[in-house]
Amino acid sequence: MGAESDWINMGGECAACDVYATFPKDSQGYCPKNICFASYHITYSTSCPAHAQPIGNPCTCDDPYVPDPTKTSCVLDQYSLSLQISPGQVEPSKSAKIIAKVIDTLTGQPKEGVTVGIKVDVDVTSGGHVHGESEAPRGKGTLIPATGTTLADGTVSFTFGAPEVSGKHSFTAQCDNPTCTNNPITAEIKVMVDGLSTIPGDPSLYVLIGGEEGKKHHDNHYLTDDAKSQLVVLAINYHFLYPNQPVLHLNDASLEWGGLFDFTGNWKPGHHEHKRGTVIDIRANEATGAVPFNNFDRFEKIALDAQINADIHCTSDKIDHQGRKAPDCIGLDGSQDSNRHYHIRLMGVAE
Amino acid sequence: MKTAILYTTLLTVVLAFLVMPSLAAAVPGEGIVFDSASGNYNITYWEEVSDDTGHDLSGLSKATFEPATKIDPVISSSIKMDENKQMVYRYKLSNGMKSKQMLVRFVFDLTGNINASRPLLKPISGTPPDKQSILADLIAGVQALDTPSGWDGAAVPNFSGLRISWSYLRTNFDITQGVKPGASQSGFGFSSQDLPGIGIAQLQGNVKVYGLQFSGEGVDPGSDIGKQALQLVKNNFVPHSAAVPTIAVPTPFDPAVLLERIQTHMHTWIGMKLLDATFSSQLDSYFQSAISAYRLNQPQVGKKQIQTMLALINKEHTDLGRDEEHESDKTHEKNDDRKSVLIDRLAARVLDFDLKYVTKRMGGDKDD
Repeated sequence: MGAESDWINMGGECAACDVYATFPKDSQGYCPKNICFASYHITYSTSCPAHAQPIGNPCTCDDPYVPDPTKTSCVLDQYSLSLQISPGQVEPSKSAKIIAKVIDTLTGQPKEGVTVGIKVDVDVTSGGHVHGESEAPRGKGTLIPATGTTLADGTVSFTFGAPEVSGKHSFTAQCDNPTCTNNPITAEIKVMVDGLSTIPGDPSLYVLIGGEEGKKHHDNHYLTDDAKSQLVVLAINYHFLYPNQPVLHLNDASLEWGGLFDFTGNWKPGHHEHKRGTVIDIRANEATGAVPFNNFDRFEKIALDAQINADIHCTSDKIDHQGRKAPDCIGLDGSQDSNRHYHIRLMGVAE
Repeated sequence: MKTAILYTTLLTVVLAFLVMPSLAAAVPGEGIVFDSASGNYNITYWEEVSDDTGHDLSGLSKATFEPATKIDPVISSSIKMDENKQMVYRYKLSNGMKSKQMLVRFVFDLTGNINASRPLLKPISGTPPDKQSILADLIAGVQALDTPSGWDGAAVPNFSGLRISWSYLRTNFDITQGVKPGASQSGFGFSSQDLPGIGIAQLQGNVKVYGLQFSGEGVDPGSDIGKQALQLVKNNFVPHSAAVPTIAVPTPFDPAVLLERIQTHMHTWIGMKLLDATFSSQLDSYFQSAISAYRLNQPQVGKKQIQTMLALINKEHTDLGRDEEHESDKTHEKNDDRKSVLIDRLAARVLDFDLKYVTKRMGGDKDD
């Protein structure tokens, strides 16, 4: 509510705003000031200003015009659009609330009834996915609803459903009123798993592999601090047992911001787990630096001792009448399997 | 002839699939089925997979999980206090005649400590550890254990405490190695400043692989089948109660505080079905009297209460101080006394040891 006076010249009397109460003029012949609520009516003496009509008395501004702060003319209303994202960062597959707010810049008051539209976009190479859209278009997540109307408090809420893939998403909101300032407005959100950092290089304990040129992801060795501690314990124990053999060769862990690790670059489920910085693959085939077949037993034992879960993954392309046969990754023929690796859950539990 | 054999084999498999209930199912065809003939679990799961050119090769895949639980183990133990008031723990493993696997792994997760050249039980934080410190822990852990020949011992700090493990050093994935059914292996042990309580040992038989082996990316661990499969691995051991370092002796020595700790630990046995709740209440009254007496500086009264408790326990089981580790299995069986319904024999032995420790520290067996 305002405090401007809207007294209107009515000859011998003064009419108060739209309340139509009447008061006498003062001894100088003027109407009293500063006791009235704001309204859409303005003071006039002989005729209404532009964009106003003398509806009854006083003048009323034509829609969408409103009285200026001095109540002497009608001006276009000015709205300010802003965006708030809560929280400012969201985990993959979780949701965040996007709130658009419209304020009347003339009065500083929330503006109800303004239609706001919003859309989401994504930086296609963000989140460690340098492959971009080379294989397939990248999903942007969901945004519901696409448009909304501000409530009495000037806000309208949208729900962003983050995709499984981590990355940087931006929202562009626009209100349909031509007098909206800051229009359109954008804001960003990071879809990410917090608390991941890269495995520090330490060639005396391990070698980082898998991010070579030609791969879809080059930065593939991110873990939580707890998982890194477990990894170091595993690597030291292994090197202590086999000081004259190659150190562990560490393949994919998680991407920089975690989330889906689509190793084929097609944005579809690729690696199971490898999303939250607690799982890493360790080479166990016949390639350079792999855990040799004869060390499997003690490697698994030291993993168990550190409460680390170690599954073996290999290839089984033999098909029987019901599907693929159960693989024997330890079978002697398994040594020829280029895909064989340990799938290590460093915290002992699945992600 | 070949046809007949094939038919019989298939029939066995089919019957096993039909008879045994599926533990979980999500996508049609998925399931985990226990095969009673082999004692293994057959896992069928949907695998989303495509080749490098993007061709969808998704389909049902299979994995077999062989549990390391086809054993019937017994742990015999002895606990002694040496001249330095350190507790010496010794264990013997026996693999029962009904076992189908060799016994090859023996694990404790301790919250108590063991004696080593450097402290092993310590909080592990998320801070990446110092390499030299980890290596020193590793060596100290190995040296702190008594390990029989042919076995590998380790004491490894972890997030929840300290894991003690002994593993048989098998070669070439030979599943015929280890403690054979009907045989036993002694020589496991360590010393500790902590008094014994009852912990759960994990024992495993000899299998080729202790985890799961999958083709490709394997089962989705977030799926129903995946969760069930991981549960199989998590529980891939035979639990067995054993006396382990649990109760810290207060420094400086305070009999009232120590009795409180013993009593608190004793209460956990009710849930483990090792102690009858009514018998526990009966012991509680003597615990309270003894604790109060020591607090009021009336050691003779405290000792009297402890002696009463010892009498009650020894009424339930005889010969509680017996050294079980060095007995032959036959002697063990022969000496196995009556089964008390009020307190398990191992619990009685531990409580007997702990209470006697208090009286020894308070002046031993001297008459009042």
